[in-house]
Amino acid sequence: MKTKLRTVYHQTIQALKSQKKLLLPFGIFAAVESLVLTLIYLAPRVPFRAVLGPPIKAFRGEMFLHYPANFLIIPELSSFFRNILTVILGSLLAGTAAVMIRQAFWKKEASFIRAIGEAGRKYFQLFFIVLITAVILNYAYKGVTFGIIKYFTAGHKELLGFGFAIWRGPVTVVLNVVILLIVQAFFIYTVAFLMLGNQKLFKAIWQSFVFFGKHIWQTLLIVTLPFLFYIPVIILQYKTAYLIDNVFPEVVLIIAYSGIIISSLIVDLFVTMSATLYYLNNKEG
Amino acid sequence: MKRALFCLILAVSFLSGCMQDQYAIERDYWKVNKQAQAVFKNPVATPSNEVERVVTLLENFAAKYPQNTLAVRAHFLVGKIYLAKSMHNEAREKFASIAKEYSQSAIVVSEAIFLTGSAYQLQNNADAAIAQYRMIISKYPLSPRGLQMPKYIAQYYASRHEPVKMQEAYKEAISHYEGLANKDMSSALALRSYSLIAECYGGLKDWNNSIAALEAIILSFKDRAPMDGVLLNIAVIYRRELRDTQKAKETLQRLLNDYPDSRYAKAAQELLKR
Repeated sequence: MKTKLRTVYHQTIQALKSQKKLLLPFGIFAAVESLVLTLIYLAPRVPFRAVLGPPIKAFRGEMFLHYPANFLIIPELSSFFRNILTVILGSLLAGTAAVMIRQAFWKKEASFIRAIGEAGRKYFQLFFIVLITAVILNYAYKGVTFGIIKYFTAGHKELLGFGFAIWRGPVTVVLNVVILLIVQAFFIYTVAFLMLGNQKLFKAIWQSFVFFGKHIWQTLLIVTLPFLFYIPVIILQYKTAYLIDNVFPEVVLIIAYSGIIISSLIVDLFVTMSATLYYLNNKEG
Repeated sequence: MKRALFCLILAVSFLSGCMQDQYAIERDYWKVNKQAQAVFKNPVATPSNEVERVVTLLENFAAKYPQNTLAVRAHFLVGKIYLAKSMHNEAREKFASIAKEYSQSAIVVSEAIFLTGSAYQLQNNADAAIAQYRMIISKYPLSPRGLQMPKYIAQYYASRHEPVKMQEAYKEAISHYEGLANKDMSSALALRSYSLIAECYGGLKDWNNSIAALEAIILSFKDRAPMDGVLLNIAVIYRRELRDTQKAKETLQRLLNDYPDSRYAKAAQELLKR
């Protein structure tokens, strides 16, 4: 019998209430990401400019080392570094979180040290899982952009009633979110199968696909519901230039920090915990 | 742990808030400039005490960072606010003081003189405005503003619907630019001068001579810079102004042959199809 999502969320809340340590992997990731964001923000300033200035100048242009243009690239750079951090550090912390959640599920005291040790032993596999997800997402995003540009450069004026500007703007953002949620749904149980089910790498990926196939709606809800909290951040980041001009440039930084808190301490926390608990209820419960 | 966090927050606050590096100066400038832009948005409705307040902010900024290039911009903003508020005498005084303070910089002084002329222009005092513009040509002919002025004067006459004076001004501008180009035909100045000559002939609707000036650019500079943009300009003149589609196509073909990887190649191919 399939576990109800309400039960899973109830278990998630209860586990968090009883064992605050479960927040640790997500808190660490948020802290590291915040540190990186702070460095991006300080890049145009002495003494950071000496090290961080040249790559920004080479890849984006000199103007982005000046106020307030530097705020224009903060969302893009923070997203880029978040992806790198997710592959390098997030993979390890996802494995750690999965082990800690199982400890909590079986009413044991969650141990971060023991869990990170266990995850460390499978770091290569965890790294590969997150890397492959990131690569698929990257190509899917590029595919959307390429498809839209190809369609409109072929001479078409509109698609489904929308012109190029709308397709390259808000529609692309929405499509990217949909792609993110679908790809995430496919891979969401891979870490659980690897860390908790002791499956080999590719078998864990395949098992995740199969598990998703059997629990499509529950899984889609598991990845989508917490993500709703992040939508305001996406909308605000899409309007970065407008906000700089009409509010004040530093608001971009505030949004970026809020984005980190929401993504790490709400979205990732609830998606990882509820997916792992859903897996545990169905496999071990 | 708490102490380390406190130190980190303190360091970040210090770096982002207190240190007066170029970035911090740019931030201060952005704030005062924002307030100046609010005046420009609706100068008529802006009360005089608000204008005074913004002018004081800008003056204080310039006084705080006198060596910074943004101080010059702040000074100019003050003058432009006066212009926007139709306080022409105050504007001219401000531009005169800028010219005096930055007398070593041809770019700043020529800009200050130009804006002084603009103040006269806004008062419809054409003679005084032209006198200022001519002063730039004679004193700072090679500054960016100085290079533009001969053509600008002709355009100013055109805007005043004075065709005879406009034609004279364009001819004068052409001989001025030819004089600059002839000093050193291989210099960047000659390249810029010939571009302006082509534009001046365009202003006179003398398209053949405009093309001749552009061809002179190609002849002198094709070995040192890509000439695809110039070729596209020639093709457009043939097509749009002289209605000579054959010559236009020949020029576009020349562009595609000489610069197959040009960023204008696609536009050229599109034009060839028509």
